[in-house]
Amino acid sequence: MHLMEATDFNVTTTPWLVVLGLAIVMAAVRLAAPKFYSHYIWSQDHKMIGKQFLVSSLLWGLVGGALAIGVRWQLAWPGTKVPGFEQIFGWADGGAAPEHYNIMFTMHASVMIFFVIIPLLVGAFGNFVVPLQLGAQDMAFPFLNALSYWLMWPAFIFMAFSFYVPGDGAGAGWTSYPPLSETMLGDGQTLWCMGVWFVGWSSICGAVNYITTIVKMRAKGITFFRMPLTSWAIFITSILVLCATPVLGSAVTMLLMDREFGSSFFVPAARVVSDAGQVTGTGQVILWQHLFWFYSHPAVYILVLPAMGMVSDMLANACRKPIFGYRPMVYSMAGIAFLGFVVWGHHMFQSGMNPALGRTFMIATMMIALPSAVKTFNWLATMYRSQMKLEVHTLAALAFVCMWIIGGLSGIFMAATPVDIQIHDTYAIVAHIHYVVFGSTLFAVFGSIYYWFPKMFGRFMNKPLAYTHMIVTFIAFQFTFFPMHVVGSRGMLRRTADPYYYGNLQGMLPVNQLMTIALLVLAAAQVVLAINFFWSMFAGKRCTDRNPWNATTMEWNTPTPPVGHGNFDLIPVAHRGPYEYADPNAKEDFTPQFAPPAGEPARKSVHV
Amino acid sequence: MTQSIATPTSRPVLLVLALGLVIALCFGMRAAFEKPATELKTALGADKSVGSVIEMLDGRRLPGTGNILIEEELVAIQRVTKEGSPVNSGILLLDNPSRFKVLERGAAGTTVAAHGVGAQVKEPGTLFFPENFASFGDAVDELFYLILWITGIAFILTEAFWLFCIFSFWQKPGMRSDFSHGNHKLELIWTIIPAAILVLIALLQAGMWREMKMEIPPEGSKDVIEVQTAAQQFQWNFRLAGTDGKFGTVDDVPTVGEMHVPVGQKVRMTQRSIDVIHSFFLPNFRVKQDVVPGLAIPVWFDTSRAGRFPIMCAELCGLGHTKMGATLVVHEADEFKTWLAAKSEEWKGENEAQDRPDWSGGTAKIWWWWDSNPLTTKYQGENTAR
Repeated sequence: MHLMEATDFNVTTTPWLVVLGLAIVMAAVRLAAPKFYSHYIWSQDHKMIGKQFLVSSLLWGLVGGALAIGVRWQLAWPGTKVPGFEQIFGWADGGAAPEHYNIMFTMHASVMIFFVIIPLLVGAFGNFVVPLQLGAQDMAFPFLNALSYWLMWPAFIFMAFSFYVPGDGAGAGWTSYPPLSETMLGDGQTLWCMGVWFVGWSSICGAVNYITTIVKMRAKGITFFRMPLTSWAIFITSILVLCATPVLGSAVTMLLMDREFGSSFFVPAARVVSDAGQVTGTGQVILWQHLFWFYSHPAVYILVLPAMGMVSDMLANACRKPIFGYRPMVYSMAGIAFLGFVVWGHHMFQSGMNPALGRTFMIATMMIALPSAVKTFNWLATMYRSQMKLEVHTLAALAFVCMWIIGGLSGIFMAATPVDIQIHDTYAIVAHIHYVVFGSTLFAVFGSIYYWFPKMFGRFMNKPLAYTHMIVTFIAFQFTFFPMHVVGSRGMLRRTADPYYYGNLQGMLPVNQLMTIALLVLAAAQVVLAINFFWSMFAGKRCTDRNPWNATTMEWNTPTPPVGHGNFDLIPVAHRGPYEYADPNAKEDFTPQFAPPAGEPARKSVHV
Repeated sequence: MTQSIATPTSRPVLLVLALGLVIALCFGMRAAFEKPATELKTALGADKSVGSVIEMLDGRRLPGTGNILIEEELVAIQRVTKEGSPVNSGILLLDNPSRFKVLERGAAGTTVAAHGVGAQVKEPGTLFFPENFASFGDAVDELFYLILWITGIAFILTEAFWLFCIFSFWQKPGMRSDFSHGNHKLELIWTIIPAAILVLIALLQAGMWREMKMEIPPEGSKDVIEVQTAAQQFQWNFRLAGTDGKFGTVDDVPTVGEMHVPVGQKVRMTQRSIDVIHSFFLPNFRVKQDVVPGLAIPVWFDTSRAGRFPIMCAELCGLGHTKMGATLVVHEADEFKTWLAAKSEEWKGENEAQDRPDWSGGTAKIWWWWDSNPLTTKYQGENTAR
């Protein structure tokens, strides 16, 4: 950037036109519907904030998905233009140049992790579901809650603009290892740092709020061990966020200072880049990796623990059976969270970190497989001798269990240090993270959308479209990601624009084409979801039933949708644990937490 | 609508469909892997395997070698890029005139396959790891296949159970699920068994890891060939000590994009990077180590077969990362001796003619950088191994 003159700042006009258009639309809306802003934008109601997170994350998901298509397009048809990329990003090569390839995978990961998965799980469903499940009228700090959403917007703007500044975006990988991320030309990397910094701030605001809400605002009868697993998961996740995110914030700040203000936290001795003058710092390159993974490994669990909780809720509901081993489920989540803080080094086995440390991290990593295994077996046991009810969230929960097994088992290869030597930085890793983050987490999110949509909007989503989406996604997903295990262990490198440069990788082109075609099918299925989501929001079949899925947890005790700011028209009191399905003594096959025991008076209205 | 997709009549159909999917996936992958490389090249198109511009620039530089970009040129190119001239892909791989001659020297007398490096390596018939030629590699492969067996069995058992549940437990009218909240005995069993297996895997690999990463032959040990590796954007530089056995003297043999070692000998490498993090990956020898600026990291392996093998950069290092390959050339022992003597003599003559007695490597700046910037911090891993 310091190489550029002021006149070089040649931002395309597109984003400015977008901003101008938005301003005009906003002014028009203000005139036409004066209450619009107070209700939909500046709302401090946790339900509305959850929906805000949901919608913005789904829209960013389309961006992240498009970038994924760009990446895979280059692997299948190297050197050809990705359709539309020339027009969207203003890249004359249409994404074919290596630097644009680097930007595509960097931004795909950054967008998907920071703007889609984390906000979807914690921001959207955490916000919407947790207070309802606790029987609370709102979060503990409504203003902080709104702030945590609106702090996402600077991040959104920085990241979106990073495509349109000199350098065309951040291209040092989502891990942004210095010195590459420090010596990267252009402003994309700087904007990336700023964006991540704001996401971190937003996460911390959210975490404080969830922890307080869960500790202090549980309704009468909801003890800690009567909380549904979604709330438990968000509680544990929030502790992770609160402990880990400040480290990321500090690391990103250091990186920013190294880039812009000439500090040398990560500048090693005797660095010469591009024949420029020698730069000698006293920093350590590997320090960034320690700081980054100290956040980002727990972040992997931030990405999956809430999904586990939501799947537990949905699976119990789908199977009409109490979750198998409720307390072990809670303890194993806590175990995963605790161990999650001492395994970050397994991302760094080949990084030049002391190999003796590698052994320590290897053992810790092997141990973290244990609570995960316990959870898997408990889900399977929940399915055993159940009476599964066919709903869309049933499919999602079942798919989650199936793919979590694959993602979990493939992790053992990576934890085994000698095997990791071969598969580190290859597509085997890409396969593993996608089985965990897409196969598991995103399927849980899909399920959650279908499951809580009636409560959110008072309408059902279209069932045939939903089944199509789930089934096509499941099948296309396997073809997109399973072959990656194989090509990866054969040596196909990740983050490589043209792997076929290497003679030993040339044979993998057809498999890559297969994977890309499967991805296109996968993407088409997501369009079905998007259409279904937005169409059903306005025109779906109405749902007036408080408890359309015959579920047992407290959120189904509210009117559908919960009206106004404040959730419950009946005083929320919990009389039993969260998963009392199939009680042989009960009249129906589900006994909600809020159903009064026999002989007790009926529920009271809040407004007496 | 009925609550079950798996009625007694549809059950076999669904099972066959699921199995068919899996089988189709397996066969498709096999067929794809068996497609001969020549056919693939045709499929790729002669020059279409990379962005056309990078290919264009390729013509101007030697294959298998990287290029260095200069800031002024870079800015110039960016200007051009914005104005949408023919070089509009904005590939910033420029030839550095001062370096270009050296590259030519370094690669002289050797030919790197024009399209990719290491193309000579025959594809083995296995679906997983490429063929191994290092002595510690067999143990790694055994561990890999052991884990594959264990996880494979776990995978089949759990997924079979999953399928069984899906096909068996759909809602029937008037029926209720088991009212069970868990079973401590069962849970203990499925905690202890995986724990035992995981501890077993952990114990098995500890020694292997130590051998590969920590028991590095010390500098100057006998029967060990030492190679210095200097990584830079976007090429691999290697240096052998020459006939006098010492580094930093006039008869050192520097190479670019090719690493020469004799067969049957231990190789000790010292790796440094001048700019960003690179990663030295030798898939056929089960070697991967990040090359970190500011650290001199030792790596070792041994060779059991003469031939040419790919060296890859496994860590994203910038725009030219995708082309940062090199070739490991394993010579027969005698051939290597002759080659080294001849090269050493050649470089000695060159250096002495140009009156540069104190550092080697001809005009290659990277070795000047290496010798004039000794690292004061020792790599910790090596210390703990002793």
